[in-house]
Amino acid sequence: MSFLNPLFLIGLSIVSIPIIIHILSRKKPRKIEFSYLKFLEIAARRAIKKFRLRQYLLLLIRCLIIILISLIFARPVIRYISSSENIETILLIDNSYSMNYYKDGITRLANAKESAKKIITLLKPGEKLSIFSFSDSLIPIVKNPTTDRRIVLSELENINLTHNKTDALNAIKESEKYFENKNTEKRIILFSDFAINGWSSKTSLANEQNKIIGIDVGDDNPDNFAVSGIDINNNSIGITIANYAGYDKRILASLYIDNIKYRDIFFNAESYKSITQNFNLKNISNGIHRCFLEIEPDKLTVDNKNFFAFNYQDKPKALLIDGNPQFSEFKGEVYFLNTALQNDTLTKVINYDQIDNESFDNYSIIFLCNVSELSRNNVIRLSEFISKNKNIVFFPGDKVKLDKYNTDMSSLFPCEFSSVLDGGELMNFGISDNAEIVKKVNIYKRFLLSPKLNSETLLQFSDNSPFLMKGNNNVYVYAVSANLIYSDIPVKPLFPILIKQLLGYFSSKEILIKNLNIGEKLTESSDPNISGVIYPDGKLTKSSIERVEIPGIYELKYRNKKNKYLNANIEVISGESDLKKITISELKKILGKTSIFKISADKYFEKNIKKILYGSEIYKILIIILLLLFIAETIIANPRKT
Amino acid sequence: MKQFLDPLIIAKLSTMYLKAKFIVEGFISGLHSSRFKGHSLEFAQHREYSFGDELKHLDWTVYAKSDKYFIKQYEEETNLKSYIMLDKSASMGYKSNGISKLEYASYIAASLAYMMIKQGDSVGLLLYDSKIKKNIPPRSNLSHLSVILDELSNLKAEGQTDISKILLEFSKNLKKRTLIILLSDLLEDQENIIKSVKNYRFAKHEVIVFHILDKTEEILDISGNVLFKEIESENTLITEPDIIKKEYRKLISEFIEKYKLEFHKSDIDYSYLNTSTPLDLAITNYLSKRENI
Repeated sequence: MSFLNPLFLIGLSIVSIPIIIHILSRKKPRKIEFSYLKFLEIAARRAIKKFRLRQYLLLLIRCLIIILISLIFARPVIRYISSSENIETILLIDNSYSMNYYKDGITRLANAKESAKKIITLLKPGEKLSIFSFSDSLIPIVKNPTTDRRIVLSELENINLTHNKTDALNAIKESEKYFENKNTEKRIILFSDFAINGWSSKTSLANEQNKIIGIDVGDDNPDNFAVSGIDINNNSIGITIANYAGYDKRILASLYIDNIKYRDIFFNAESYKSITQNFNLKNISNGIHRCFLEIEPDKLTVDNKNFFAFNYQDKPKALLIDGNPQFSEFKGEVYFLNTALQNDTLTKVINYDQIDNESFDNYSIIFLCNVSELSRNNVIRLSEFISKNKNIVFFPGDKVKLDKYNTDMSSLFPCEFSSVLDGGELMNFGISDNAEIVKKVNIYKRFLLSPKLNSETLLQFSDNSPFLMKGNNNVYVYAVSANLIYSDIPVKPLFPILIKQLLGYFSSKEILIKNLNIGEKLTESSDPNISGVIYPDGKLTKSSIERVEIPGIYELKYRNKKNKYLNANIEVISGESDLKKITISELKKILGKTSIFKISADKYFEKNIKKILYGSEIYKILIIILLLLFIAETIIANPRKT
Repeated sequence: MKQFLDPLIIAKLSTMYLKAKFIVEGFISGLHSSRFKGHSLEFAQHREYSFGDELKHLDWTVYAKSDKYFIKQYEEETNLKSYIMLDKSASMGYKSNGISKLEYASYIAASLAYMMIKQGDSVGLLLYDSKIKKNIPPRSNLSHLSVILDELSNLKAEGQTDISKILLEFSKNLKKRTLIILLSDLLEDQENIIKSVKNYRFAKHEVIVFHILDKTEEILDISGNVLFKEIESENTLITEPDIIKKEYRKLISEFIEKYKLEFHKSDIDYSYLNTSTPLDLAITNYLSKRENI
């Protein structure tokens, strides 16, 4: 508190007058003889306490009246924040995506800019100020403190919304560095919606002692609905919608595939809860599709949409050719293999005798199990099959004619079949969690495979001889049979793992899709093999990209491999879409020694900000108190006569 | 003549006899007819005529012989035995202005004695504080009046009061039905006083209580910061009467009301008088009582 006329405070010394009068008014008692004191004593006991209390109350009121009169003439001013001449001000303007919330036809950011303009005009002309925008990072707008209001006002207009989340604490801490002079008083004026998420980072301001004026452009009861996640599993999609409103809501979501509406889905979302629905996509062609899910419009539209690339693939069809069919299916070559493939593929089993009549075009994988030999025609058919990027897997067996395999059929194989060895031990195939599973396998016999040039050994025995080989023509060869003659692998828990692994090799050459948050740095950005990027709007650039700023699907083009798709979306899961405000007590706890005065950017904003910047005179309140004291004094000094 | 019943005027008269005569005669002159009554078939004695006596009771034979007016008295009238019990403790000496409670009480006592003896009733006087200081047994002859009046003329307020003790003690001496006239400020333990006065009624005695207080004792018309010292003890109290006045008056009023109520219940005549009350009130109350005995 300070005073505009401090000289009048001398009047406070007069406060001693009523006290002196009170003391002097206590006269020495005169002595009177009286007949009987009993009634006097009782009456005194009853009446004197009340009287004394009234007297002291009167004395207090009279003293207060003198104090108040002195204070009123001294014109006290309450200063919420000191306003020394030597002060530097930084304006921090939140442009995270929650500032896009619309109310009364205006976004929060627009409201923040309007409030900032009012403050700029209210600041003293010589006061230096700089401006920064912030979301998850601090962006200088007017970096060097200036007194030129024209520059500041013009640059203020250039602040645009981002798709990033808020980190106000980081912005405050970072902005400290930009104060020009260490000895000046520092003041930060922060414009934000004060959504709770913006204050949840671990950044510590424990040692900072600056003063913050918070301009709150948020709402007390905001409502928002957002697409908070899309999960894709094979051909199934899981959609999660979050309700950040104080009431339940039936929300309509529409799924668009390649810009055509695929279907509408309703979500009954409870207040402040998320709801997930899963469904399978059907009747669309295999391959990449650009999709987005959009919910019905609300006050914050930016989080209503989620973009994702979707690689639709039917289950692969596999042809299993049994080279040594048995009467008992269990003893056949493909029984265990067929069982292991059931979940992930559509299989058909034929005997080798039926191969000539089977068209390979319907399949993407052919398993040949203990096939003794292949006719020339079938070698050609299989060569054509693999030339279409399809896969062949060989399981050898007792019927295999090695001379045929190493001569007429050798063009298919990544290796030569040298000889049959007894026993063997598998290496740990990188499945360290299940090392015991590998050890419990018994190998009775195995083919010794000799790798050819450009072949790849995918799995090995412990003597480093190949267990599974792959040629660059997508032909895979195992060293053991698929039945129980060469090993007990087909009846061990290892077998389904190996088959899954094998299917994994097939898919490894499939298209990669990666999810990315807006503002997140791309790990692939420095990859020299990237030849260009196709942006969500279809524009192609020849250079790579460091981080994505606009939501959508980005396509990274590689020189040596297939393109990669990036699903770039705003980080709803960070909590930025939850617009619930932080309370002032929570805020003060987080800010520690840094003091904050928060005011709303409402119709009283101008009046309130003037109070905060320059303090407010309180003489009107004092006059009212003085009048009340006069009334109280009159009442107490003149008790009702009875 | 009413002004002659003002205690302050009476106080200016030189002797107690004059005071008593003045009060009684002043009182009687205000009446339309004498309230002196008394009828009996059996003649008892003559007494000198006094103003207000009915002429029909004049003994004309005696007048013819002696040329003096005498009234015939009958046995029934002379049977009334009265005791005036006067509290002469120090507290009775209190006076704010004018006359003290003791002086006021002595005027009443003198007037009543004068009237009773003139009527031919026998009257005694008991002076006490915490002890019985003087006991003049009841007589009805005229010379007895001067004994009582002499005693009343020389009263000095002193000693502590213990009315209830005195009352209990004295009640044992009364054999015959007696009219007790109690004059006191009754500033003691109220319950004990009420109990001991009521004892007289249980013993079939008639009781008239004259409760006498000074005006200041009643309304506490004192201002400023005061150190009160109790007359009968060394007790003191510093207070401001202006502050406690309201509460004090309430207490005194309750005190008087309680006596009134309790005595009324036991058919005891009670009169509250302050020292500025005209003295005829006491005589009226006495006569009223006398009428019913």
